[in-house]
Amino acid sequence: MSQLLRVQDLNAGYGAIHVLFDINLECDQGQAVAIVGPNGSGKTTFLNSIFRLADIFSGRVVLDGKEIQREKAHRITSYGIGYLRQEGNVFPGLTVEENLKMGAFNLPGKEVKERMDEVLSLIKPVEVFLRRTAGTLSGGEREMVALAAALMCRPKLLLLDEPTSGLSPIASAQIAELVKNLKDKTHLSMLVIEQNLKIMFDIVDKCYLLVSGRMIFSGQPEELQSDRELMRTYLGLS
Amino acid sequence: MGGQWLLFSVDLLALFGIYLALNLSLRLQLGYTGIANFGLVLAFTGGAYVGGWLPIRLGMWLVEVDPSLAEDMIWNNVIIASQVDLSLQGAPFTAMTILLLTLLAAGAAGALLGLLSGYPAVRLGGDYLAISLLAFGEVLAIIGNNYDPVVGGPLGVRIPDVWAWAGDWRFMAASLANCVLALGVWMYLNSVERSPLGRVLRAIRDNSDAAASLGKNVARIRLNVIVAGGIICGLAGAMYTLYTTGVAPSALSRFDWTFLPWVMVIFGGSGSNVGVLIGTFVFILVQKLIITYKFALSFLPFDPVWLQFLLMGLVLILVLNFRPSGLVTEKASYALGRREMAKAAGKEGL
Amino acid sequence: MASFIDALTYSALLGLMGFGLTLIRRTTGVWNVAHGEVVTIGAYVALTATSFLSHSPYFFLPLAFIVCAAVSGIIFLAGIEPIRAKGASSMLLLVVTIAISLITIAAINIYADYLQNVFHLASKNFLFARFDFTLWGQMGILWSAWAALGALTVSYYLMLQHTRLGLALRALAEQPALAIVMGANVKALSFLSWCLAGGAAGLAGCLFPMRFQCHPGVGTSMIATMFAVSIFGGIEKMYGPLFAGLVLGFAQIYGIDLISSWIGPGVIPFKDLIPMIVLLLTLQFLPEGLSGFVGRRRG
Repeated sequence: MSQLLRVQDLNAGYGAIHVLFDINLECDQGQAVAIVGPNGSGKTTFLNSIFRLADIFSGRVVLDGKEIQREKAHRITSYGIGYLRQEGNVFPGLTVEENLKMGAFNLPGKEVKERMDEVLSLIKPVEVFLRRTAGTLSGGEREMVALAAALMCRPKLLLLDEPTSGLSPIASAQIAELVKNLKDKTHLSMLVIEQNLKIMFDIVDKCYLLVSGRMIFSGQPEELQSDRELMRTYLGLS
Repeated sequence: MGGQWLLFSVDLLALFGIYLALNLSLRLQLGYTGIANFGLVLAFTGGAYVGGWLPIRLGMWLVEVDPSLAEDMIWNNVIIASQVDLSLQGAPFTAMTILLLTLLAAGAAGALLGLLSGYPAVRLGGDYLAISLLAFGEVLAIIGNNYDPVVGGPLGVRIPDVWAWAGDWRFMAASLANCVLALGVWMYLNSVERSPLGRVLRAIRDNSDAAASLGKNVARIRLNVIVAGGIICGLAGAMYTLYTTGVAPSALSRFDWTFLPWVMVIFGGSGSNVGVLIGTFVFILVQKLIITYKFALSFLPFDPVWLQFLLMGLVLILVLNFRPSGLVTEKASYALGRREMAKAAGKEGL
Repeated sequence: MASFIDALTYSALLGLMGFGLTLIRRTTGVWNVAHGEVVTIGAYVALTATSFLSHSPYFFLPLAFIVCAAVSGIIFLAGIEPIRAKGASSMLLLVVTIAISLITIAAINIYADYLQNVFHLASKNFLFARFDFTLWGQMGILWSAWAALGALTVSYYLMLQHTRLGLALRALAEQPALAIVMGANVKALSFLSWCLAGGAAGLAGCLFPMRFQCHPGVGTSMIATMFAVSIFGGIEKMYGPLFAGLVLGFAQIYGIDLISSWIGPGVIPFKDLIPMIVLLLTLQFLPEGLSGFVGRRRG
């Protein structure tokens, strides 16, 4: 398997606030990587820094052999990264169809329709409410729309920021099923932040534990699960 | 030459007092409570109109003036004012009575205008509130310019000089009185700063929803602050009118009495009384210097007064760019003094 | 009849001015106080060009559009964007536009003084009614103001609804961060909006002296009215300013005639209070404006 994303000695934050210290992370083609850690450890900041929504102070972000840490925020998606944000993940005033079209903003105009059909075949439930305004959807439906929109740009790598947060157990399971399905069918690489460890350990191939802006563990999900000390101290599980 | 400098400094002091009071009113509203009042000119104009309307009538009533003149107060106002002046020269108590009654009425007018403009505005979010107050600020100018009985229309009126009894010290006395007003406002703000009220105001500024969830009636408190700010502005407007012994709606512009105070407060720092003081002084000084040395710039093919606008705008942009909190930043304030805090901590900790 | 035509003309010009304010607020979340001065600049482009090149001011509409679009774009790039990039609130950005307004007021007055002192032009008070043509029995300004407003509103509406650029602009108005993530260049889109808004203001400014007296403070004195148009129309839909311009224009010119015929001529000087009253009533009872109200009724 070839390497898709490599993050090297990344230091990042917001303005004068230093959040992430010397982060190293690798993600191979088709791999799903989880980033876990307590609240406020800098998980979202890490995803934001890949998208230049947070400031990178030093270090490198290499995607498919190309350094992207100096790119402008709006150019990142054209390198093949889709991002499902935790908050504000849809445009509430636009219809679902327009949300998806907006997700394909960087694709050539004639490919949009074709890509939309592909995405809808992967995330079937969305097709039903294509004409509805996104703001009128429930949380679970909205999350699916957001996931579909993030897929519209033909990403090689998908960043998922807590896709099941705030959802009912049923909706969470539905989203997890979609993500798993996505991984099996498309071999898309994923970086996932998730609090719901039970759901996630089934899906991911590799785990990183982020605490106070530093990576203190990386390895197989089973290794993390078997390290009771780490599980108890940082994740509250035993 | 010396006399000229004395005049310069006395006028500087007078304007400084007025503007400091006005700016501290803005500091109370913006700095403490987060109310972007772009309608300072409203209550200020209200106070100034009271200053233009009331003293001359009080004067006619309190001192001997030819009653036939009262048939047309506006037309005859210069004659009446100078007749009242003559009587006031020897009657400091009458003059001070007029002053106090005028201030009382001006404060009431300021409160009323604050209430009127604040009531619809306080429920609106940040910048809508600002625009609402900005629009309100224009209302009195339109009325004053078009309805002569208030202050004589665009040309304005002259009013009796309540400082006439001070003779040669007239300007000095008036200037000092302006500074006394500013000092009073300063002390009021200081007492607010250290009180529980001050903390409530800052809580509303920083997160009005959180403050509301703690049982504070945000809209009501905001309205109270706008009214308090209106009283201060009204007093400043009346004092300004009494100092210049005249009032004209055209001189009560949005630029001079809303935007200029904003520039001073943002420059000095809306989070600090000292900052506001410094900002006020610097800008009053610059403004006076530009006006005084205007003749030296007469070679320019335009009116040098515009340089002042240019300067204000540029300074404001630079400050917002490089030091958005202003010259002096807000200090954390504590419920307890340092010693009490240490004592409390000592008991708990050890 | 004359006041009816005046009201119609004035409405269109108000609509053009409000259009820019609404556009800027929608896409960048800023209430631009300096918009009034951009209108004045349009009038001065017309004055300068007609004085030195002696053609009808209509001839210079494109020039006014370009100059004012450039001025507005520069205001955004040099004044707004650096401070916005640091995460300033919409309140702080309002203060920035006030600072810019002070600078442009100074620049306009210096320029007007210069025209007067050096070229002896009547730059402090001018009116171009004598240049106007007549079409179907009415002044040309009536037709051209409505043509400009109509063309602008319709083309902008079509652009918003049917192009990807329009989609991006709508997306930007709702969730700027998400729009960036999806590849929209927020800075470029905002810049474009400011330019377009400035251009519309330029058209209004260039047409204004065809019917109404102009002076260096003309735009500044109308800014509260422009806010009334923009807020009353509602920022949700781009046809808002057009309707609000009609309502306010008629209220101010035709309405005051009507009221004075009932109460007496004493009320005429207070016609400038009407926009303030409309603005305050709107903020109080219809905070989303006309278009928000219409949108809500339809569900």
